[in-house]
Amino acid sequence: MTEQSNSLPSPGKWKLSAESEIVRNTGIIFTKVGDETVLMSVQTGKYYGLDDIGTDVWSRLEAPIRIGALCAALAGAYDGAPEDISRDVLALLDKLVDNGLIEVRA
Amino acid sequence: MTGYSLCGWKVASAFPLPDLAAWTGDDRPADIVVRLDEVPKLCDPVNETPLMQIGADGVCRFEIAGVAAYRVDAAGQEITVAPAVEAGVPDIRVFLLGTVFAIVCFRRGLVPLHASCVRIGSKAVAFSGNSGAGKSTMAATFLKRGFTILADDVTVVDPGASGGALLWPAFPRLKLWRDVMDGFGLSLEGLERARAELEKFHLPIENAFSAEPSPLSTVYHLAEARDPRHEEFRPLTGIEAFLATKHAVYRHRLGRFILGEEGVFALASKTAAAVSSVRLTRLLSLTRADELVDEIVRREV
Repeated sequence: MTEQSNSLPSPGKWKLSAESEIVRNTGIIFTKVGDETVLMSVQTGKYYGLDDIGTDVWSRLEAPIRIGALCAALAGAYDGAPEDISRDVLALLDKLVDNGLIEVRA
Repeated sequence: MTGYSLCGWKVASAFPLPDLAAWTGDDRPADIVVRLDEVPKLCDPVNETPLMQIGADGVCRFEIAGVAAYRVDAAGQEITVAPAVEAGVPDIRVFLLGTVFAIVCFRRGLVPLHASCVRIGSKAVAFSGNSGAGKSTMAATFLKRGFTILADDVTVVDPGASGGALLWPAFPRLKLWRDVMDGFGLSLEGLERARAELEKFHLPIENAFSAEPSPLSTVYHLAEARDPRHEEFRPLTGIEAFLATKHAVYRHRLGRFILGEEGVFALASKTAAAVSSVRLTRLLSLTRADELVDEIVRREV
């Protein structure tokens, strides 16, 4: 994920686990541009970009989903060791949470 | 009232607008009516800058002291002009076809880009950049090579058209800086000054002007190279394409004022999604202009 700037203070680390349920923040508007996605926080006016894989992840977050189920679905869709995929997904989700693009329900 | 053609809209104006092409379409009622009347200040604006007011009902009032006050209704259908000088003074049209026209576009869901635009084959290609970045020069070079100019300075895009973005031609005129005109050996005589204090001139190009919409394939975002080794065509994707497109929106602060941040995001991201975006970094010198035209044509056909 690329950010336009890094001016926002981090709201603090969430402990994301396979049991955590996540969903898109409703205050985020977004448009698919080619294989990528641009997002805007209505609250802060900041823009974000997701690459093609980030866009795929984003497309799976429309309804609340447990991280374990998300990782399993992505492991089925991409080549690579499931633990590598889970680690990359968690790193992305961490950034999405930090920037308020998704919410952790539990 | 005289009928004019602007971005496919039929414009009826109470005073002559020689910058616009005459309406040659059907005899439907005008899409936009320009009237002469008083334009009092809004008493209860929800948003206000020194020059602009916007009411809760979406009415915009814009005033340039010593030129005119303008009122645009929420639908972008009715423009009222209250000149502070006699109605024939060009400055009145400069702001009418600049800021006021941008308000109308935003109100109607079209995206005005600060870009010139030419037709290559069946497609339209736009060149965006800040003032002085070479938009008009690029268009003039294509014109000299026999291509049709679709827009100069402001290119109006309908990003939501079915089948991809459409380019709507606006004005059959080129604005050229004096040094560019000198470079092309065109005569300044007989051309009306665009604004008294600006060294920029209107060049009528009616013979090469087209009033029909064209599919917009690529927006080239112009940047300057100081060294020929730095010249490049770099395709932009995702957030880069979006940010370049948003930057290219003509009067984007005005757009934000009228539509809000979300509205501008929606228009710019839709446009970025509907066209190819390329960063074109090249020398500003006119000497290599022909090579650049050849390369762009090669990429587009």
